[in-house]
Amino acid sequence: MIINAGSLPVRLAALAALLAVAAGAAAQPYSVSYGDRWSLFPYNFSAPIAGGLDLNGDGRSDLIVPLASGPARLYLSQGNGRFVRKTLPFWAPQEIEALAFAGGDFDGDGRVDLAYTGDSRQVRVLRNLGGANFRHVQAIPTQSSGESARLSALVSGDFNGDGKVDLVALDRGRDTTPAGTSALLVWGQAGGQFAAAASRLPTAGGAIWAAAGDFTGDGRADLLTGNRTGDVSLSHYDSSTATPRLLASLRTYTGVEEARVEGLGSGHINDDNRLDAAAVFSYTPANAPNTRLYLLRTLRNNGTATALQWSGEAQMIEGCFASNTSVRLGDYNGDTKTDVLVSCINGIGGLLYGRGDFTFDAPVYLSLPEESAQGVTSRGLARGDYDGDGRLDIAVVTQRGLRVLRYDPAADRLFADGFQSAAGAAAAAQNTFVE
Amino acid sequence: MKSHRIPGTGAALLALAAATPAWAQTAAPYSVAARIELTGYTRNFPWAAADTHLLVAGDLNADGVADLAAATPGVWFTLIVAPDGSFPLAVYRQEDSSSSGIAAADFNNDSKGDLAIGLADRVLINYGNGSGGFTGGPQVAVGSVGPNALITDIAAADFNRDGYVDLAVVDADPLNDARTHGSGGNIIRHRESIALLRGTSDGSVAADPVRPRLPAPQFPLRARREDFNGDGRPELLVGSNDTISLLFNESSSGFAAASLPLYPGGLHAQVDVIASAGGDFNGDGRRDLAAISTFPTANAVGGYYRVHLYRNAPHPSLPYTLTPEINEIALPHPAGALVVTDFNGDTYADVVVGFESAGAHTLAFYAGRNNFTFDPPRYFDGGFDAGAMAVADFNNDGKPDIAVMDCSGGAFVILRHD
Repeated sequence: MIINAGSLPVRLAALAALLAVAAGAAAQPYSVSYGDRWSLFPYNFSAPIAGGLDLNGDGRSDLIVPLASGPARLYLSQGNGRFVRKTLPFWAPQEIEALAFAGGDFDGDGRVDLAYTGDSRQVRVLRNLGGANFRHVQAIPTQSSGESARLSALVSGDFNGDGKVDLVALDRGRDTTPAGTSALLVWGQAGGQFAAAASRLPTAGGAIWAAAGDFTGDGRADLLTGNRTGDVSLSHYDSSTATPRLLASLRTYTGVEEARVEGLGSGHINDDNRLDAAAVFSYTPANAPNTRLYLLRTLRNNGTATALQWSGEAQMIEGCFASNTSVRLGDYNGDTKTDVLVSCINGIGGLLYGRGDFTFDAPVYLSLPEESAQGVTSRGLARGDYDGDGRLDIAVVTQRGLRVLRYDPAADRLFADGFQSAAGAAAAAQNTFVE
Repeated sequence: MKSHRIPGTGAALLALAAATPAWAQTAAPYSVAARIELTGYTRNFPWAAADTHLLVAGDLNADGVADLAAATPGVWFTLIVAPDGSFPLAVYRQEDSSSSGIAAADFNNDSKGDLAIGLADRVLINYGNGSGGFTGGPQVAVGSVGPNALITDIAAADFNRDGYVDLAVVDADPLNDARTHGSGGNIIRHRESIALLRGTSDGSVAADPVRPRLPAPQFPLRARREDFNGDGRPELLVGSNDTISLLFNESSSGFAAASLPLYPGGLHAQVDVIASAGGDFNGDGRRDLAAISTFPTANAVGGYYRVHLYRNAPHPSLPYTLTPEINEIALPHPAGALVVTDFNGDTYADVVVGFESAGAHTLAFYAGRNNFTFDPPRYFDGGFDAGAMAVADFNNDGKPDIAVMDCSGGAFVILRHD
């Protein structure tokens, strides 16, 4: 459903009715290809599953899943929809609360290294020794402080164009007073170390979501952030003047109370070759204080100095409580148009198939039939081609484990009549994702 | 205890938990004899306890008690066990490598236990001095290339009975011995072989001049030796994430070209093989096989993790075969390791399973009944997740003790048979 962002209707439909609508939507073109179960529960926030990183150099996208009370798990793709589990043990089990991972070849040895944030309020750097085994090499202090303060996001990219991977951490989140208006920016150096002297990059106030990408088209990474008061901002480091800049600050919606950003993602939504973005936000209607509505808004990259602007319309995500959601852009149905995958805390997730013009079809919902009946719901999503068929597959973390949903043409009733074109498959194969 | 046959399925499944009679819900006859924390364990220098290989290394210090060796990515340990079951000496050594492959044998035939340690692309032979210490010996490359070469497992035995210990080395190397796969333009590399190093008269190993590589399932992860027909020539079991291959070893010329692929859930089933171990489960004098697998859906008694059993049986064209038994053990928790031993002294092979149960149960002991059926489990509840296990009589009382990795606490634990 496409609705006008300036006149959001008040929707008071009960959750049961919304779910009934969702259940009646088109069947998901996915089948479970891999699963791992655990008795440990990921913390009931969003589980920061990290995808898009080839940790063992075999050309395939692997997964990292932190757990609430034990070492994080690595899932190494076997290329057929299956994974092999390993352990990333870089904290004592009783201390774990790793919140985010970022990766890149920090030291130029051809291996993907990792950085993560944890409840120690430091950014920790892990060197890949080969084969997805890591050694801790550096701890970077942050400004996060206070009893309940913590780091909320970590992204990597070359922000100053020197060819070395830099790190950005949101280290002054909602629990810090005053709410932070900048992110920690640490510069990558030769040999994989990071500079002791950090810079700050201005962000939306109290930002808790972050994504890196080249929105300005200068070959360098920029920073997209979102906060719990409904703001999205784009930040840029001008290396010619060594000046950090806030390029754009946009409010998801004006005129409503308690609007907040629930998740961010980036991708090419139209065909102008400029990186666009999408944000899921929520708000409570003034006359329905017990209701929370979830909407998707897209940010069009207009190629100007400020790069991003709202595309003008918001898409209601009916039937999905997209709180603390994963927003994963990609071509899921092979029609060469970018779609959006969001996670739902009252289910697994929903796919909004894009039309290439910043509008989307009504969501198609994903489910794990056997486990949905037990109240198993998504805590985070990742996507990648895990079986080598050129189509995007989906990895979902729930309270009970990891499940990988493999694109299954036999189950694809929507697109079984020719959508899987050679052009679509080729375009999907060229996509790489790191998030 | 009889196993319960599930109507309509034809499968004899163990009924667990609620169906278990009270008499059978007794604790397993084991108690903690020794526990040694991983010295130096910090959040910046941890060991991947869940990825640890733990093995009985023989009597390294000539005190009449079996000792242990272990390796986790980048670190290897020797754990000297005292006659009372304690750990008087534990030493770890860090290597600039991510391998966790380790094997124990006497490479130089001096009657002292040695260790083969996996480095990224080489095997390091360490010669034991008979008092618990080691001297670094030769490093032998296995032909891996690229920044992500990695030895994941090593199996040691005198496979060709020439008097010198040989090695089978599982070397994950995405840039070597690769082939492409994938219909959507992706390049996917598969490793489909393992390295075979022959023992030499100087106490080292060298690539087999005839067959330096042995066939293996795609992306082999584990190798273990098992002499299934008792001819003194151990066979090789090579496991990938979803299958196990049996490589026959029937002649002095080396491993036969034929191998027997075992698919726990059937070909193309979405099953992961976790661990395997051999034992005679039907008293016919032939070693059978037990393997833990995890399935995407639960069976009739709710088990996602199950122990499958394979019967060693004659075959018209192969030396023998391992045929899947209809019986299986449904496990109540995610499981990561198993060993086969006779823990109740009834001469029947029993199965011991280690759980990742968040402390609910650490080990389950399934007493064999000699016909591929088992009693309901007796549990050992140690309050930790079990990793790798090894069995030996550490206190020479004639009963099998169990060494187990505490994955949640980061420690080696010896459970003494009471």
